[in-house]
Amino acid sequence: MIWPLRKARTQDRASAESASEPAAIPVFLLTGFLGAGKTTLLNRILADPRFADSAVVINEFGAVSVDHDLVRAGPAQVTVTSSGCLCCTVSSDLRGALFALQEERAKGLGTAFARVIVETTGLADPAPVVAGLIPGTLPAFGLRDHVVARRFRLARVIAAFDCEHGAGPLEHHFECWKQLAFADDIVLTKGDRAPAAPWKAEIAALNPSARLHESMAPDFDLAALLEASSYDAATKPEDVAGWLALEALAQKAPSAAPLPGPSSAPITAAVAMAGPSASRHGGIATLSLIQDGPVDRTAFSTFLQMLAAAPRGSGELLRVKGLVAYRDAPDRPEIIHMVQHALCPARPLDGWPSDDRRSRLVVIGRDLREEPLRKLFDVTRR
Amino acid sequence: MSAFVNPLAPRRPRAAEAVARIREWLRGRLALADGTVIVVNEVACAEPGCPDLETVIGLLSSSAASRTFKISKPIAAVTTADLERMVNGEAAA
Repeated sequence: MIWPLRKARTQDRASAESASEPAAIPVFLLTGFLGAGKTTLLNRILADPRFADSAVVINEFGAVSVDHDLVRAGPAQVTVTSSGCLCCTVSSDLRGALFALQEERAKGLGTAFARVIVETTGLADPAPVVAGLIPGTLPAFGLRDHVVARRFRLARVIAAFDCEHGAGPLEHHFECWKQLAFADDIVLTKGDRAPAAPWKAEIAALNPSARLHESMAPDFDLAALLEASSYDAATKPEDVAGWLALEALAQKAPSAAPLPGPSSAPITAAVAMAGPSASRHGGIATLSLIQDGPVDRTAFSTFLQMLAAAPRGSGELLRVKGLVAYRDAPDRPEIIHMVQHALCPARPLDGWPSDDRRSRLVVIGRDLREEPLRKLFDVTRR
Repeated sequence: MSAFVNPLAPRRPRAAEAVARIREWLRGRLALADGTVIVVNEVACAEPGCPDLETVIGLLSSSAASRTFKISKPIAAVTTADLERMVNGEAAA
């Protein structure tokens, strides 16, 4: 066992047991690969009156805000949107968002909340996020981080897994495996499109300690996901403790000696991905496609079909999501989802969820060819 | 070793298989102190000229200095030759 984690857990329990401190607010980390169904799960939670007293931190990976408008938070629910990927900016971004929530709470502003649900991007590496929420694992920078460590505690990690399209990400994207390995609860989604049963043995083999749920099962109870508890890395697969320790090592030794081995690069290069400014998602990029007004329905439908049929040689398409309004119904936008190359049925809305009335799509993929995509999308404005 | 492959056995991600293989090789190749944990991670490198994905291997110990290595390729592509060079590089350092 690796000592920093044991020490961190001891500190966590000690602080939780302190009678003089108010109870720490539980933080639930909702993760899962691109298109796994995180936002759908979050919307189910927020629609449940039992969890109306939840604050939500939504993380966006892209230049244009889309996820914020896809979450149906009630008027009494506190919502904070953080920009940048949590796993790349965890020290500043998530701790900053939690501190802002705490400040509002302390000043009596905003709505009281009993828990915080953090929805990560689908590309998020959970290791730095979890490490940032376990006191003592990563360095604390200033009063803000100390306040967050005292006032919040990581309760559970919940991972969504797509039974229909999960095979590809699990096979080819390291983050997908890590998201499942860190989880206390794994929710198997889209069971109406692909059976969940064949996945159970595979998921259990990766993370025997996780509780498996089927989102479409009649007995699926959201309360099981949000029950009071404290995250314990020691109960997870052995890789989890190691990844957390590696994060701690990276953060605490940013200027260590040159790395031995086939590369002569300094250790800062190897661990820089834990730093605040670098990206962990080499080769994967987001492309934002925006039209100021509504688009032509036929042209947009053709655009989506061409996107879905794009050959592999044009890049690896991972996710498309957005809000689009058509010229024949400019006040009734539709939510557009595509997971890998599979187009999901559009969901029409009764109105725009915010003041932003632009038709906009975020396309996430590896080695995408930007110019042809932009030209194709431009046709929809004609 | 048996060549039989159980087709009904749960599959593991390619990276998970590779991590297990790397860990097993290092355990056999290096005389690691008791309690040393081998951690294998895959990260993206943002530096110009670097490959998109790199493998970071940590030998973490509570009784000795922890060491970190980097191999400039994804976990699934790491070969025993890469590991051998890594180990030899450390010996030469």
